[in-house]
Amino acid sequence: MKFTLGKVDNRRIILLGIGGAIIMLILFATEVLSPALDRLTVKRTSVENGFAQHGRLIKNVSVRDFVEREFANLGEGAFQNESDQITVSQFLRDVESLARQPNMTLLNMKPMPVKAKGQHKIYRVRLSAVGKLQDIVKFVSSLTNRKYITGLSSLSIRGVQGHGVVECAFSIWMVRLQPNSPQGVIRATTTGGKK
Amino acid sequence: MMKKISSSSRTKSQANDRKQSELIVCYSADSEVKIVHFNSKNNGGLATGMCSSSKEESIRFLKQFKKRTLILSLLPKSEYLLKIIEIPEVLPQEVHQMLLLETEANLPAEFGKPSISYRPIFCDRQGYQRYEVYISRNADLEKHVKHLEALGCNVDRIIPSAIAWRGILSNADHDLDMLVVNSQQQGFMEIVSVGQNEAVSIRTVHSKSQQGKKTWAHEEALAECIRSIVAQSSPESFPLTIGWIGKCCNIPIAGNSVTLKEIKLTYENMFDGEEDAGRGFSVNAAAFSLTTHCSTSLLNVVNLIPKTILDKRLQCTIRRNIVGGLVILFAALLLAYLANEIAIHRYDSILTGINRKVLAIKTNGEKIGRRIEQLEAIRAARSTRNDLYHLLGALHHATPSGISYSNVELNENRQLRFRGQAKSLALPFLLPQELEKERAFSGVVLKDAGQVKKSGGTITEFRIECTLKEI
Repeated sequence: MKFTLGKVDNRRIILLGIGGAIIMLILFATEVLSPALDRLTVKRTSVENGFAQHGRLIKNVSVRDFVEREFANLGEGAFQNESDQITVSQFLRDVESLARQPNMTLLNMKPMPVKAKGQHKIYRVRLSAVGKLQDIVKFVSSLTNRKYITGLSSLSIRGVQGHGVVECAFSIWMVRLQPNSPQGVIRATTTGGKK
Repeated sequence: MMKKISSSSRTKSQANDRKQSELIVCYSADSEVKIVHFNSKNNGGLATGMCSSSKEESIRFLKQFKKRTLILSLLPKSEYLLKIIEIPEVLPQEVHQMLLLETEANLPAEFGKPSISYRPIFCDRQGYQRYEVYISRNADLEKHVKHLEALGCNVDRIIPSAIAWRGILSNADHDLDMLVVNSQQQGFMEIVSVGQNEAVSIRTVHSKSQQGKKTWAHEEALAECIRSIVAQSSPESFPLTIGWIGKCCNIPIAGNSVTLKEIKLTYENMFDGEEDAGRGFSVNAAAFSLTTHCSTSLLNVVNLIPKTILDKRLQCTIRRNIVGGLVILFAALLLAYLANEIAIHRYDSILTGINRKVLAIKTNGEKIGRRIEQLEAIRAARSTRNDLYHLLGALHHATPSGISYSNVELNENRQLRFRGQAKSLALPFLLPQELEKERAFSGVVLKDAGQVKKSGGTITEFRIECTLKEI
């Protein structure tokens, strides 16, 4: 069918024109304006992140002397120089040697999976012991105040009826800093895993 | 050519209907158009006029006035018919249709499609309404509008000349019985009188032949008109006053039954020069009359502009608005795009600057950040290493005699649970307040306390929950 513009009436030409213009506007909005707005959003986010990073770095730099001083005061035991297995073994040996007391018996020691958090690792051990309360307290106190950096995460003390002793189950965690680990890498390993 | 005069005229306001304070009146003759702008509010009346033969000149002249000012075209009597039609009373919205039907029935078939407008007049017949109907050919009116458009005047209304002259006749200051408007330049004069029933009688008398030569027929016709009005009038009303607009000519009537009165309007000299004064005077008088004597509603009902023209204009306006809207929308989108690009460019430059700053301190800052993180971990571990010592110390200090604990639990969220026994039921209720006094505990809640039988007697057992604070 031959189609010429001359045969189309004025109203149709106008409608076609308006339709074409609307399509062009939609195309412009979707193909040009919308991607441009997306680019703007990306740029804005980048700028905000940049400012946040800069602020964080400035804040870090401002406390540099204090951090250096604190770091210098940390003992050798704060840093991890061996593999996870060796570190855990040494720690458990130490715990066992501390637990050798006449009125206290170490019932159980169970190392938990090692958690790597940024620039440090957390070694958890669950212990259970039975003995007189003062000996247990002495044991826990000596364990948490040695060269290792340790904390007590949970405990449960139960009196054993008729013997004047208590049964204590507790969980301690040791922090070891990683002096040369890759920046910002978070890894989760277990005691059995490779470093 | 553009000439301007100012004139003041006292206008009588009729409070019951609003009048246009400002009007533009056009009158097209051959290849030129006379345009008069009349503002009744300006010092009692200011008329500005011009005679233009080009579109640009007219547009330039019209541009100086408000856009909303109505532009009227004065239709000479030679281009319309005037009939008195009586119809039964109908609803106002049906009047036009009724009159059109009545008109079409009375017109010859060769007249073509008519366009009508009307004005209600007095009717003494019960249940009927009488109208003065102005009839013109649709095709002629379209041609008239197009001719004016070609000369730069887009008229809003086409007003029959009878409406303008009736205004002057009804002016009590003049006290006229008849009005003669002599448009000498166009070679005709319009003779107007108002009958007893308010109906206007208007007649065109040509003063030039078709070849453009002056004839005496017009004077005879004028005399005939005067004789007719004299015959219809009672002797008490003599002498009759005939008002005259334009150049006066000899009236071949003897006796003192008629007096002539030249209508002196203060803006008589609107057009400079004698030739122009003659040409523009009737339009000027019409503009004055339409502004001061005709209400807006009257101008609406006597409007002869054809519906086809109005439809075309409406279409044009809609088209223009749509196209304008699309253009504005496109421009807005383009503007938004440009603004977006500028913002991106700004962000780019800010990002470059901040990246440079970050790069300068990144190595040191990140190193220190890592160490801060490590110190935080150490602090967190060290803060809990004496928890057992603090817990037991606080318990020993707070617990009254008669209470013993069988189980103490501390979880990773530092929530404490105690289970114990007391010698009496009152003691466990004393315990929470004693524990609250210790700075190691907070949120102490006695979960339950009750007596149980044991070894032939009773013992009170209780459970308490609280939080171990960081010290």
